[in-house]
Formats: sequence, structure tokens, C-alpha cells
Amino acid sequence: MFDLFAPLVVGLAGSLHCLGMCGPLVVAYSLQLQPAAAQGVPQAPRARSGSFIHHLAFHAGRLLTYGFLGALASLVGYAAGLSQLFAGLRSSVTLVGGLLMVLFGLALLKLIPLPLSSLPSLGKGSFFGRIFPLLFASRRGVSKFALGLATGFLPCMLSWAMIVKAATAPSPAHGFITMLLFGLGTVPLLFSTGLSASFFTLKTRLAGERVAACSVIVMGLILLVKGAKYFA
Amino acid sequence: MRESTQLDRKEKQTYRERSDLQQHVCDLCGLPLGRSRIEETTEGHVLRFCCPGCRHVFLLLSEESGSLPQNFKETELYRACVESGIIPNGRDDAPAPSATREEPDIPALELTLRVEGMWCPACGWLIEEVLRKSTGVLQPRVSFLADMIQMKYFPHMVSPSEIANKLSRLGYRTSSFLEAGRDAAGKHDLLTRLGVSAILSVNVMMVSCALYFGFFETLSSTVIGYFSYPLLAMATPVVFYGGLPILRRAASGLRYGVTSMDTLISLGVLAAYIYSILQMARGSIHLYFDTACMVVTLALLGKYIETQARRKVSASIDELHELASRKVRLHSGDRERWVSADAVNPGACFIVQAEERVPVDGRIISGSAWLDESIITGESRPVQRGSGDEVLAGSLLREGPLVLTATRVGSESSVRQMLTLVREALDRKNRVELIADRITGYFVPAVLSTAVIAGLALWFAGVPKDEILGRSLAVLLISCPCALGIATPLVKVAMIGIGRSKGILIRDAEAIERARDLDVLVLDKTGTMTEGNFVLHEVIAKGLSEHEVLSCVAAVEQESTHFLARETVRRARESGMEIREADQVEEFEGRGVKGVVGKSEVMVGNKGFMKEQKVRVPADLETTAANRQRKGMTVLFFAWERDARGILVFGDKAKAGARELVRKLRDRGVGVWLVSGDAEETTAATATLLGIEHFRGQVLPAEKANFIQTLKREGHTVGMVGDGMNDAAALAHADVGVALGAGSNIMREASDVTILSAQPSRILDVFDLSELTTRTIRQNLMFAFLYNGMAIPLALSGLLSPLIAVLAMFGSSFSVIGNALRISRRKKESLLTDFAMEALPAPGGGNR
Repeated sequence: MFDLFAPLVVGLAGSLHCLGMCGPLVVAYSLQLQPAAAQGVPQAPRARSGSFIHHLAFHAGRLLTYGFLGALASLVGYAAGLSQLFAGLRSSVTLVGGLLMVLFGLALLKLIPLPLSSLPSLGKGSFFGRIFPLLFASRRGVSKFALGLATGFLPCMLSWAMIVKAATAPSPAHGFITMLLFGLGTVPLLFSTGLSASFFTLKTRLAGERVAACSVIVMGLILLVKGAKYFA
Repeated sequence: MRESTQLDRKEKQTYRERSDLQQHVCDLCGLPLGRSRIEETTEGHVLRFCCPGCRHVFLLLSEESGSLPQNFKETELYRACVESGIIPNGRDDAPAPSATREEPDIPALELTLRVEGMWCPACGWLIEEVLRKSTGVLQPRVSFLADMIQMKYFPHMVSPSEIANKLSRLGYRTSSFLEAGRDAAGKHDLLTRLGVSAILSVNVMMVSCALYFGFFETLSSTVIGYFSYPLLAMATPVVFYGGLPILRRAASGLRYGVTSMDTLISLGVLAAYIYSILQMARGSIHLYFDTACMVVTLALLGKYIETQARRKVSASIDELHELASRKVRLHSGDRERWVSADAVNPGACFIVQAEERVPVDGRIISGSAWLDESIITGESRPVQRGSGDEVLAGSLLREGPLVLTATRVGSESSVRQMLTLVREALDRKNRVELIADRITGYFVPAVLSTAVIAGLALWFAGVPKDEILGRSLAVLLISCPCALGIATPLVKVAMIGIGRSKGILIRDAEAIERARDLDVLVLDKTGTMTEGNFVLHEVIAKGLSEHEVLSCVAAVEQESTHFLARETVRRARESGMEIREADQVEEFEGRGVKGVVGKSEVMVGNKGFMKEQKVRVPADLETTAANRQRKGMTVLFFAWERDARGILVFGDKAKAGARELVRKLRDRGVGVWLVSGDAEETTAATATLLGIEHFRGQVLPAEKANFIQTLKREGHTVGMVGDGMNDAAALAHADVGVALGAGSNIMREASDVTILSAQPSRILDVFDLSELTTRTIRQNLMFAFLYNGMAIPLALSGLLSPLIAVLAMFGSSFSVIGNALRISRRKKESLLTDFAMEALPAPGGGNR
């Protein structure tokens, strides 16, 4: 039960952090939708429901990516567990996973600088760099779905931590669900970005981020203990 | 080399300023950056992000808007985000660190506080960190070893008492340097805690040992269990009263994300204490109360000893503070009143009685007396000063009274200048220190994780819990990086301190470390190796009386500040003659003077100047001049109507100990050069007298710098000793520039080292100090690394009990401290015994 509950909590609390990071993305494509309303009739209700569909598509895409990643990760972990050659590898995966999650949590708390922070950028020229402007510009719902799919791949410490968690899930289905729940946790706030952003002060957001980070650390520790038990 | 270090310094400074100015928030989401190091540089702009996600989103968005990242803030998107509150605009509750910089019109004030209760360098980092984050405070710099914080602050945003309050909440007492008796309270408090802890700990140990060794074997385990209660009762005050300062500092450190030795000790003590209580509750008699108690007691003891040692090391720096804050007995009319030294205006008249110290720099109006300047110049021999002489603040009047007029007060006074210098030197971290700082910063987290990982590993290995606790505790306690942290700075402070007490002011501690590598030392002749008091010895002129000559020559020389000119004028006045008026006086630096007296043009100067002015010099006069010069005298030609009429012969005395200095320098394998603006022959004669092989005469001040550079190009490490007045450029170019006999002019920008006394023998002290410092720093670093490097594996293997670990940890600190104290002790022995004061008269010179 805890295994499913935890990602949701991390998602919920963490989305206060997402607000700052992914929020601008949501605003960016919303802005592209607006001109129609601005040019034409004053604040057509049509445009709103239109953007609702866009939002829905965006989040659906994002969740799908998350789920996919989660399933993939747990498949890797699962495969490792199946192999009789590497007896005990499963527990190692758990231990390493736990350690990684603790590290991610600490990095989220900004207590330690994140290693490998200078990963190649997604700026000019890269696949993402080329595809994002196109997706932003397009006003079709499908494009927002694709945008969501792409967003799911953005390097985010929270999602990474959850992917690691998913890797230790007993089956790919569990992994998928873990990540889906995490994603779902982040939806409420992001869905109503404009509205929610003004509600939360910086302090609240910081607190949310910290709660998420601490949950990640706790989950990591639990994994560590679990892994240790396999050993014993 | 010197230029490059100066450059480094500049870079470091701008870096510091920049990091002060930077906003500590993510450029996208506005959340604090923490320790995140994610940066993106575009076209010179450095953007900082809290996580890789933010960085990538930022890049994507700026790409999308088609503009460069730094223009992102001008896009519609950014505005929309700010409006909707996604990106904080910095106006709400954001920690706005830049607010203080927006009002540059209001000047920031300097504040220097004395801090009590800093236990190890990490305390200094904590304070710096906290001050940096508080509004209204700029560039906080903590000097751990001097117990001092310097900062700038904006008076309209924060008051000094608010700053002090903030620090006291962290557990540090602050006081102004001017307050008296500041140490007493802190020392007393520490001593009480130590006493209480020690007495209780001894009792706990007694009972515990008895239990361990089976003293009570005959008793049933239930009865033995009863012993746990008195143990708990005694251990609790030790941990929570005795250990309070440690716990508090650890807690406040954690709040600001700084870990230190206190963190390690607190963790160890609390772990032992809480574990024991849990065990007690389960009825076990395997308790760790004794460990907890002893760790606290030893930690307090160690700190007490360390504090004392630090105080001893920096004692002579404290002396300066005391000198700077003396009271002045002002004398106005027939009334006397006391005011603080800061309130005195230049020109104010004050009185000093016998056995009092002169409170501010002044000039003697009436009276003459023997003054003991040892506290400033390090010379124990009293000097006589009379009316019109300058007296430095801090001089002790042996007999009195003296009436003086204040000359330099406030920030210009000699003591303040010395303080500034010392502070600068203390503040400046050398390479080794910077590295050590960085290592120590990572050390504690590393140790913590080592202990945790080791503990977990042992647990899986099936080691009993008692054993795990013991070993992890040992690791925690033994690996405190304190010794590493203080290894270099303590020696530096000791060095600066001894230097100060010997009248050697060190501006650049690194230069002192370089001094031992010098293989060439260039000595300035006049004023450095010789007294610099030229005495007009002889006037040689054909068919003219001394009177006639002097009245003419003194007329043009009156305007000049050159020491030969001053001597000539003094001599003319002394013989009671009336000096004529001169017009159109023109001075040629280092060469001569010309002017019109009556109707004829009069010229006074060296031989080169005569040639330059196309003056005819008779051959016999030239021979006479050369003769005198070969005897080490300085010769000036004088001429009118384009004909050289004769020469003035001046004699100078070699300083006492100058010859000895040269001999000792040569023993050390240092090549010695003598340079002078004097004639080649004069320089040669002095060089021979002093036993110097290499010399160069007729060198203009600017040429001295070139000469130094030539030597450096030849691959020498060159030191230069001068009086600092006209050889500033040369001092700056040398690897180590030493200004000798600075007297009241302390702030010599150019010199690395300023020797207040005029004695040449002091130069050897600089070499000794250099040797001693470098050696001690190396030894200290070795000690520190050795202990930590060896002890951690030992502790992990379970060979060391937590108690021994604590002892070993302090052992490493003490060996480092003891080593540094060794330098301080040298102070009493004197680095070198003063030379016999036999004066060496230069041939032909000396007597008037």
C-alpha cells in the first residue's frame, strides 16, 4: 500500500516544485493559444474548453512517458532478478536504488551539488531543441500530447528518483503504476497552473519541494533496509 | 612573481565581490540555489539553476521564444509567468539578497567585532555564511585565529547590535575591541563547564570501571542494574550542561547546513547517551554513559587548552588593539582632561608622565626623555628623544613628563596602520590554506557517510550492536579535521605575531615564506646600511672661505629636500651666517640643484650634473674628489659662472651590525649587492668596508627597479632592502621587498615586510622567521594528515575505542598547536641575539 501511496505524495508535494519548472512550459503553449481569443471575440468560451483539451492532451502525454519509463525501469530490474546467474543481484539493485534515491533526495534538498550537472544541454540543435518550438507553435491537440510525451523525458530529479523506485518494483506493471501515480500527483497543480501559482508563496513551494525530497529520502532508506534484509 | 600574486589577489577579490552580489536563487523557478552548482554560460552571462530540469526548461523556452537566454526576461512569456506568479518577481516573500546593493549612495560602514566562542574554523565558516545571508551586511570576513569578524554594513538596514544579536543567537558572544576584560567571562564559563563535567565524569568512570572489571560479580544482575540510575543522573548534566555549547553549535550549524567538529562530537555523544538509555529501559547493564561523559569532558578540555594556546599565539596582536584604545591626557590651558584616543584632533596638546605609554603619535613640544619603543620596534634599548622629535604611540616613557602635540590620529595613526596591516595579512589566505579549507569543507560529510556506511556494513556482517556503535563512534570522533584546518593559519598568526613583537610588520605572509628561497639580497646603501646622517666634513675650495662658499651654496640648497642639501643648510645656519636669497631654483632629482644668487648662476650637484650643465671642472679638483670618494665619502661639486669652484665632502657612518649582517648573509649562501645613488667610488668604499663584493653606484631610483629585474631575469630570487622612501619601485619589483627603519611611516604599499627598527641585523630575523614558518607549516600539515589518515582505518577495524579516538583527535590538534607555539616561544629567546653595538665608523667619516 505504501509503495503506491508514496509516489502520489511525492508527486503532490513535488508539484509545488514542478510549478516553477514545468509551469513556464504550460504557460508557453497557453500563450500560443491565446492570440485567437485576443484577436477575435472577447474571451470566447470556446477557446477555454479548447485549451482544456490541450492541457488534457499535454498531461496525458506526460503521464504516458512516465508510465513507459517506469515500466522500462522495472523491466530492467525484473530481468536482473530473473537471472539465476546473478543471485543476489536483485538485492543489489534494491540497495543501489535506495542509495541513488537518497542521493537524489539530498540533491533535491540542495544539500549536495548534483554530480554530472553539466550534461549536454537540450538547447540548440538537439532533437528536443528542434522539436519543442514546433510543438509550441502548433495549435492542434495532438501536438500538445507530443509535447507532454517529450516533457516526460526532461531531466528532473523527482522523476529520476521515482524511476529508480519503479526499477525496484516487483513487476513492469507495478513500475508503470508507480510512475503513473507520481505523474497523477503532479497533475492537479500543473493543470491549473495560472490559478495555483498565485496561491503559493515561495516559502510554500520551498516547503513542498522539501517534503517531496524528504519523502524520496525516506523511500530510499526503506529500499536500503529492504535490500539489507535480502542480504541477511 | 610578485605581480602574478597581486593579480591573483585581485581576481580573488572580485570573485568574492561577485559572489556577494549574485542572487542565490534559481534563474527559472526562483527557489534558493542551495549547493546546486548548475550553471549555463551564454555570452558572458552566468545563469544559475536549482536543478537540471530548470536549466533545460529554461534553454528550451529561450529557444522557443527565439531569443538568447539572457533576453528571456524580456519576452512576453516571462512576463506572463511572472504575472501568474509562476516565476517569482522578487517582490513577495522571496529572500531578496540583492536589496542591499540597490542603494549605492548610502555608504557602507566598517565594523570589526571580536567574537568569543569560535571553536574551530568551521565556526568561522558558519558565521560568514550567516552574515552573508543577512540583509545589510557586506563582505563578512571571519578570522578564526584572531577571533575577529570584519564586515561592512549599511547603517539604515542593520545596526551593529542587531548583528551582534544574530551572532549571539548562534551561540557566539561578540564584543567591541575597545571593551576591556572581554575574555574573562568566556573563559570562566568554559572553565566551569569543564570543572563540573570533569568531576562527574570521574565518578561515572569509577562506577563503570568497577562494573566492567567485575567488582560486583557477587551481586545479582538486578542489583547491578540499580547502578544505572546514578550513572544516568551523573551523565545527564555532563551531556546537557557541560556539552551545551557543543550541542548548540552543532544545532545552529545544521540549521545553516554547515557541519563541523561539533556535529561529529554531538552525534557521538548523543548516540552513546540515547543508546544507553534505551539499553537501560531494556534492563541491560551494557551502558555507554562513561563514553558520553568522557567525550564531553575531553572535548571541553581540548578546547580550553586550544583557546589558551590561540590567545598566546595572538597575544602580540592583541597588544596592538590595546595600544590603539588608550586614553589621552589632553592639556588645554591649565586644565587636564582625559579623552579617548579616537577623539583627539591633530595638533592637540597632551601630556605623558613617566612610566606611561604615549597614547597617540606626536611631536615633542617640550622636555626630553628616554623612551622604550620595544613594544613597537622590538628594540629593547631605550632611545633618547628631544624637542621636535616624532614619538610613536605605544612608546613607554622612562622618565617624564613630556608635552607633545598630536600629529597623526585616528585611522592614520601608526598603531591603526599597523593593525590594518596585520589584519590584511591575517585575512589573506595563502594557497595551502585555501586547499585545506576546501578539504575540510568536504571532510565532515565524508566522515559521516563513512561512519554510517561502515555501521551498516558491520550490521550486515553480523557484528553485535554494541560493537557497531563503538566503532562508528570512534570513526566519528577521530576524524575531526580540526588539525588540518588550523595547521597553516595558526602558524601564520604566530608568525605575524612574533614578527610584530619584534618590530617586523608582515604585509604578505607568502612573501615571508618566500624569503628563505632568496639567493640574492640587494641592499640600499644610504639609510639602510649606513646611518644616512651625512655630516659635512670638509669644504675644499681654492681661494674661497668656507663662509663665502656656504652662504652661496646654502642659498640654492634651501629649497631642496635632499638629505645632503639639508645638511649643508643646517651647517650654514649652525655657523650663524645669513643665507642669501636665491631665484629660479631648479632641482634635478638625484643629481643636483641650480639657481641664481645675486647675479651669478650657482650649481650644486654630483659630477654627472656638472658635465650635464657643461661646467668646467679643473683636473686637480677632480683628482681630489676621486680621492675622497675612494675613502667612502660623498662629494658634491659647486660651481658658478660655469666654473667648478670646489667640492663639499660629506661623511656617513656605516650602521652598527651592518658588517655582521653581510657576513651572516654570506654564511647562508645569499649573494649581497650594494646599490646607491652615490658615486661609484663612494659606493665601492662602503662596500669594501662592509665586506660586500658586488656593488653598483650612481643608480637613480628608477634604475634600481630595472637592476632588480635584470637580476631576476638571470634566474635569481631577489630580495631588496631599502628605506622605502625613494626605492619603492625596487621594493615592489623584488620577490621580497623589505623596508627598513620605517619609523613612523608604516603604510608602505610597496614593501612586503616593514621593519620598524633601523637596525640591519633585523633583516636576518626575517630570514629566520621565514625558515621557521615554512618548516613548521610543513610539519603541521604532515601531522594533521598523518593522524587522520591513519586513525580512520584503525577506528573502523575496531582497534580504537571511542575514548582513545577522542584522545587521538585532540592529540593531533595539540601537536599542531604545540608546534605553532614553539615559534611563539622563540620570541623570548629572540631569533638572533642583538649584535654588539660597536659602531663602525666609515673611513674619513664619523666625526664632525
